[in-house]
Amino acid sequence: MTDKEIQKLIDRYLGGLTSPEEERQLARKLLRPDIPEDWKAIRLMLGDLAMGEAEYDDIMVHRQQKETVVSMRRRWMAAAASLLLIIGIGALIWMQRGNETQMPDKSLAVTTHVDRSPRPSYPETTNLRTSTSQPHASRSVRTLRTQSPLPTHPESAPDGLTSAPNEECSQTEPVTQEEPRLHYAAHIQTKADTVSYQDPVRVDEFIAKMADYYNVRQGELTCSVHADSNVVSTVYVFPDKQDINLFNRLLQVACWYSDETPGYLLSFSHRQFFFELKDVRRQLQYRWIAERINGKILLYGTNAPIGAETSSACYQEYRDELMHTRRITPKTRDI
Amino acid sequence: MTRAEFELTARQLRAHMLKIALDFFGSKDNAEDVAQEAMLQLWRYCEHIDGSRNVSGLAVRVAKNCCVNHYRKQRMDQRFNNVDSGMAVMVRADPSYSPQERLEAEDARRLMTEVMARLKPRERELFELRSLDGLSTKEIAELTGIPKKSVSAMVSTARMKVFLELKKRLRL
Repeated sequence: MTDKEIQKLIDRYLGGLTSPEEERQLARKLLRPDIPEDWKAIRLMLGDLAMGEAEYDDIMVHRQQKETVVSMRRRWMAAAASLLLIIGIGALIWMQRGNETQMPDKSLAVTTHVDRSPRPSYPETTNLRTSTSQPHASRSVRTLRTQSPLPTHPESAPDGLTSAPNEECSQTEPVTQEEPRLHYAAHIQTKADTVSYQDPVRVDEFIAKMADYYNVRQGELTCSVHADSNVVSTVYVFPDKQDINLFNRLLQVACWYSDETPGYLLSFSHRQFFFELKDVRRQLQYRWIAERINGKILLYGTNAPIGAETSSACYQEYRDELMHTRRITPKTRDI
Repeated sequence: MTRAEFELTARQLRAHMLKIALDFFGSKDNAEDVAQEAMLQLWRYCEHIDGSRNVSGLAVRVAKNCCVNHYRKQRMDQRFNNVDSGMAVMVRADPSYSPQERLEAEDARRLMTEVMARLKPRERELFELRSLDGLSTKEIAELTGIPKKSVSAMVSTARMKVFLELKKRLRL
């Protein structure tokens, strides 16, 4: 309120026209010490009681204003904190999504519909494909991830293949038969199976997804001794980078499988990864070999009918070419 | 107002005063002290007024004044407790708490009493009903039976008289 407005209020007061509320307001305006001399007479007229009441009202108004400011500040702080929290959560989700897209093994764990290989349909397999129990699947993968052993073992011989199938994957939480949909390579058992069935083709699917994500081209090799179209061999050359972490992921994939799976053989070292499985339903045998070579990882996979003659010579050739040692060691072609 | 008349309304007034003090201090102990002091002061006022008057407005004003006085006293005590002896002298020298100010306040009260004595009884009554009891023109009209416009006019006359006399005496 300006001095002019206060003077108007004083004029109304002297004219007997002010309400008690306006008089309280006037008293509050006259509380300040630097008022014009004329107004001091009005202050006396209003009296001690009115001035005391004005002081009370003034203190209360200031307190309320202070509380409002504090409350507004708190609200702003709360709003800012909420905003930060939302941004943080958003960033976390975004990062997690980024990680998920970088790690096909996670997405594979829940998207089980990818199946490029021809195969007979089993009722149980169909169930597996149609199941989308994502929360369970994520939990299962997470458990697996935390419990699965690291692929790097400095104590193992760098160049030798260390066979340790049972110990390395024994910590992996077994996927129970009661929850067949939880795991990417879940155990499905029919009456004909002596052990729970786990489809080996899912390793290939995982590798294909990894290759697709990191733009690694698939190469085909002819590895059958005799020209045999049933023997399928593929090769990938991944960059050996920490963010790809291929060895670790391959080991995790291997750990999806029970060591009681037919033909189960897992051998690995810091430099090499070797994994074999047999699909007794389709009568196929699978083999995957990964090796660190000159800053790259050569990943070779093959599947062939059980009993078919296969040779790793093609892989060896590819490997030698990558290492530029083909001419030097032409004899060491068989694993 | 007789003591008996005062005691009739005292309980209700005390509750009202206690609430005012509680709103101000937020602590029941302080509020109780203030309510007690306010009741005593209100009785001092009521001793000199007509028993038929509604004193609830006056009770509010008295309670608020007691709150402010109590608040000032607390702040004063706090200052003395917080400062050393040297600072205490400076605080005591603060003009807002000086004996001089209290003397000036006494002078002002005496001056007002003298000026008010120059008003006609009716003018004085209406002036006090506004300034002490805090009644509105309408309430005064209902209480006194004087038409509202006349109340305004009489209050205005009383106020102008007081204002001019004060200016004269204060040499403003």
